[in-house]
Amino acid sequence: MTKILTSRPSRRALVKGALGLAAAAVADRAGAQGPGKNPFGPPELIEAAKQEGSLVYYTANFAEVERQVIAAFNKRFPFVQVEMVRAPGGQLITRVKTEAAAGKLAADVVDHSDRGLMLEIENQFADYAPPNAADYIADVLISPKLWPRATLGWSIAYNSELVKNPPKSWMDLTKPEYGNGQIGQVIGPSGGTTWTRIMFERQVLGEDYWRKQAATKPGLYPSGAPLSDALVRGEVSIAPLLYNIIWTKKRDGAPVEIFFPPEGVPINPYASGIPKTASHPNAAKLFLNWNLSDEGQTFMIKELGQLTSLKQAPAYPEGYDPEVVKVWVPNFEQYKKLHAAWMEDWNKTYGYRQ
Amino acid sequence: MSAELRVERLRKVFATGAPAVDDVSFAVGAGEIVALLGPSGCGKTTTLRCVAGLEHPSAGVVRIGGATVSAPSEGVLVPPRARNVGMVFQSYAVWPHMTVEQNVAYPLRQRRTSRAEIERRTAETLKLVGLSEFARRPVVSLSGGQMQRVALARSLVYEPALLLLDEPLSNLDANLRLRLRDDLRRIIKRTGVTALYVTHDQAEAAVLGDRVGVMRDGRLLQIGPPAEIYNRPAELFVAQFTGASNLLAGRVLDRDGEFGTVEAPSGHRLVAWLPPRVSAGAAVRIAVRPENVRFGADGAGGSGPNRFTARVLVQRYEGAQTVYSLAVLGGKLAALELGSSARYAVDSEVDIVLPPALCWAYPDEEDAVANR
Amino acid sequence: MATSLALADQVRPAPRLASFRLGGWLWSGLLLALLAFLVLYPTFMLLYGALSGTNPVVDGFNLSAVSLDNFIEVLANPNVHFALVNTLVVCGGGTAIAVVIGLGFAWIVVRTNTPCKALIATAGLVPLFVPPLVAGVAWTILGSPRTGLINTVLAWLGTDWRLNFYSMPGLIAVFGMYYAPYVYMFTSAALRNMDPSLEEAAEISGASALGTLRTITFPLIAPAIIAATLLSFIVMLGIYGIPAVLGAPANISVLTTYIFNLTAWSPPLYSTAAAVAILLMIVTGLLVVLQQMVLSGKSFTTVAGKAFRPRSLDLGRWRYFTLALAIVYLLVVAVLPTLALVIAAFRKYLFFRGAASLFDLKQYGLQHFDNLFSNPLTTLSMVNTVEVALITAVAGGVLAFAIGYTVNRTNAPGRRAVDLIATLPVAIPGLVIGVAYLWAWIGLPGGLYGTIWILALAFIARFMPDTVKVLSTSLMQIHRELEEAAAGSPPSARSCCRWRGPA
Repeated sequence: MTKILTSRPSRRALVKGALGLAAAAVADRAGAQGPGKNPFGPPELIEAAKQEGSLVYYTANFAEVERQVIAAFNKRFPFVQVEMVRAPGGQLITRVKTEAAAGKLAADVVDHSDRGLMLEIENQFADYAPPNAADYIADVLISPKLWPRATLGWSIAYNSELVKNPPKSWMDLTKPEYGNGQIGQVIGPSGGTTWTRIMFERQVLGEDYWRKQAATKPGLYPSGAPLSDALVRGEVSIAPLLYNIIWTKKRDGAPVEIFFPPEGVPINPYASGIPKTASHPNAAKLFLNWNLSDEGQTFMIKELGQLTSLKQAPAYPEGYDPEVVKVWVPNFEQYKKLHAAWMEDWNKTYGYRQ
Repeated sequence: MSAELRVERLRKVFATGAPAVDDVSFAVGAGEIVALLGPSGCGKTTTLRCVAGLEHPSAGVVRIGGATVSAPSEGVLVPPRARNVGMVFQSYAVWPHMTVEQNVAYPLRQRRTSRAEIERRTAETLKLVGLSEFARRPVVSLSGGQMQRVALARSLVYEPALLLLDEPLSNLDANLRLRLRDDLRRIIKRTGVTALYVTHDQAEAAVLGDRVGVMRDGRLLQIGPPAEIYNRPAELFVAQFTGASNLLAGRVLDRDGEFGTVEAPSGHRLVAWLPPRVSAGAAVRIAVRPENVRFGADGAGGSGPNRFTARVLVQRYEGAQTVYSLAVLGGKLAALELGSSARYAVDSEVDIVLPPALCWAYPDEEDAVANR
Repeated sequence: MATSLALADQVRPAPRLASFRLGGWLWSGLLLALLAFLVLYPTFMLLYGALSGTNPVVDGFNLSAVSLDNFIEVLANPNVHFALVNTLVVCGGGTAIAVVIGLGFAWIVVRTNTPCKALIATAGLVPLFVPPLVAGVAWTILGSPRTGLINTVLAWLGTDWRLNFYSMPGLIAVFGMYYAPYVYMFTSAALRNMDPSLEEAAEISGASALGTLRTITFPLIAPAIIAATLLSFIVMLGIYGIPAVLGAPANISVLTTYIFNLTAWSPPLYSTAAAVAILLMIVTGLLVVLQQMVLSGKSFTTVAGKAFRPRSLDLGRWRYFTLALAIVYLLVVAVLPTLALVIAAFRKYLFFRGAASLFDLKQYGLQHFDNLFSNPLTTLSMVNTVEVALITAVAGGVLAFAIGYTVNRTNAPGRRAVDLIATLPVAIPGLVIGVAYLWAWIGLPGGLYGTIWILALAFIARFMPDTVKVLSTSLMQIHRELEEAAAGSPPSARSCCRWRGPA
């Protein structure tokens, strides 16, 4: 019933009971343990957070998206002011590292798309676990300090005004009929989510998938935001995109269609943690507790088109059929180890000048 | 090579305002220097520029050496470069990116003169203006006076038919101006070129010009030798502009030939020269130059016209001369005494003579312009 | 601005503040200390980062880590060569176009009787106020090969012509159009300040109109043309927005976008970025030195208390042609992009099925503005922007005036060093200077970091060369006589200021 993909058959990195759980499981959840009573933490924590009154939130996710998350959080806890600092992944990590080294890390919560980079600075973070820690898929947890606040999954989108014969799978993106710049791609070195996707392409779709796909001469974009804009504008006709980026545009009426390809949906869990130096640790905990709770995850799924790393998904995004969709989570060891060499291969294959 | 310049009924109207040049006619004989004198805005520079071809006249004819170079009614407009004139500008207009030599040789090069000829004539002209040893210097390293000599050399080197000078000395300091003024006349006369010289400085005009033309509001009021301009100004403005700063009100009692008797408000009478258009009964203003007021009862016995007794109001000692302000004839009169000793103290009485030939009575309706 | 880079050396004032040696040293020392903090220290951090391949704050200082390896590796990278060559081609081509447009505009405005000159003169400066990123975005909307408005309209007209601004020629064209005002400002000022009798003297000397242009006009404004050429080239070198937007889809990288990419990739390569930035600094620095050399020995003092009435050429009927040229320029550089941005702002989605859908009112709405203004970040960032701008303008202006005056009007000791250091940030690309400032100033005691003061400091340092040069130019163009004359009359301070104001 649940279709699970492993990054390498040999490693049997099975994602047990991942996203695609049948409806029966939902009923199961009703009788869930611990967090049921205080899903966001004990009253003392909430009181302490109220005293602190604010927190500084560093994120590599899009400011537009996180603004909505903060608004939803404030609906539940209006007494915590969240000040957001948004920077692209690489710059955010450098900033965190530099600030931490100078003893001036201002962040109470750091949220990053690249778990590998976050793991390198793991010792900057305090121990932390949400009340529903046990509900999370063990395989996506890379450190007891870092949690998958957001989980993003890849889809393929196309401009419905331009594409009359849409692709149906990842493999279709290698077809010559979509050649000559019709397809847009986010560059490999853009960050953790893209790295997850190109790892999936090579490990699951085949060693020569990149070569065949690159032969269609796709347009290269520095990140998902400009690519999704380009797709809506018709600069490109087809593009693999993180579902949440393009789904909100479709929801608002953009001429695009989105589907989850049958070969698998690479997902990238974020890594979020609370620095040891946080000056508002309780507010930070409350913020992450809410984000990681069923309520927070449901909000992100339903309103923002994200996925979840909860064992039992509280909801599914539109167009996501758990019967069909196969979620793919990278093996974290390989995620770290293969990065440099494969990225170089990718750059070469796609003719991208790094 | 030097040629006659004829300007006939020249008129220039700019897009806005009154005509800058209004019906101006005059001629400059071959080898003659004519100075156009007038306050700023009188149209003298515009006249010069029309002759040069830098402005396009609205009407009238300009002829240089018999050839018509500008006649709008006939559609004739010869460009400046074909008029064979030389011009010296107020701002020198030497080209800062060239040496002295290059500046001077430029007109010859434009005329495709041979290299040897260019060298010879450049050297010759630089010698004429006294800059031989500066030939290879960058022109910007020279002083203002030297730059103006370069400009002069540049405008003479091709032996133009006519030399035009537009306030060439007004950017120089006083001492230099006096020296270069004399040099200029000497150099121009040595080359024998016809010259039209524009200035607002009456002394400059008197020294440089064989004849002086006085302009005002676009009109040429009077043209003649400097002595005539100074001793028989045709109009009140000419008198005033050339330095007759005293004005005495009066009424003409009778007229006798060129002269007449004028009664001052105080009842005193004096004899003055009258322009032809003034007749008995007219209200006049008498212009007198301060330096024409004679002091003391001279040996002639104290008779003769225009003797008055004045009281010294103010004495201004200027070293080489003394300026007095005198109360006389019911008004004030400025008078000049040359020499380093001032003879008359304040409040003393002094006898003065106003020579009739140097008292000029102009009709009162001619507005006096206090330009100075 | 940059003319004065060279000018500073020529109009060497007569000693004026000669009386106070000790005070002079104290003053210069103070300025130098400020500049060391604002400029030298961050530059040093950058250099260290580039040479050691480390983040000096995180990894600490270790002189043994300093080697040229990182730098040499970067220099050997073919992608760096590619970006460098692209940069030189794009900036060179763009400069050529900018010179043609700017010089033409200057001539039209200053020297012809083209109608509506005042309007043309003002509007010709409009591109100066368009941020490069905005210009870039406007031109993707207009000039994208597939969906650009221009191509949509061309298709509607039934032609097979298509414009592709995602290309080297596209980049060059946009660069040229948007940086022409630099050339225009310099050359029009030179033309305007040029004594018209210089050209008249040539004409009377027998030169034709063309000969005058060739032998007199051009040589005389050559310093301004060269200064403007080098300046626009230097400015283009540091522009990120336009190549980022127009170059990325065609995978054309220039040094600035390459530097940005290096910092944006995951993991970021800051040390490599620092090394490439130093390469960019070297190129820029060489050009600044070249500019100084070219201009040395040319006197630029122009305002001599006399106003010139520039010669105005009667173009006859051709004046409507020049007017048309100016209108076309304005259309291309200001009206079309503004229209594109307005459409983009009000249109729900920037997809055009065809030219007809441009006029489909259902496609328009206010949703983007709703989003913008419901966002507390927008208001916060607006408030911050204004605050930073104010602080920068006041503090930066005062400092720049102090520097400009010291360098140009006094003989205070060490003023040359002050001038040189104040000019340095011109050569540091804005992207990299941010990192340099982060590295340099994060360790400062007193909690400066994380406040808008740090932003203000960065801006002051970044824009100091421009401010100093603008002020220096004004200071230099006023003849000292005028200032001295003003100082001699009783209301000296006031009239002195008045003189400086309009200049």
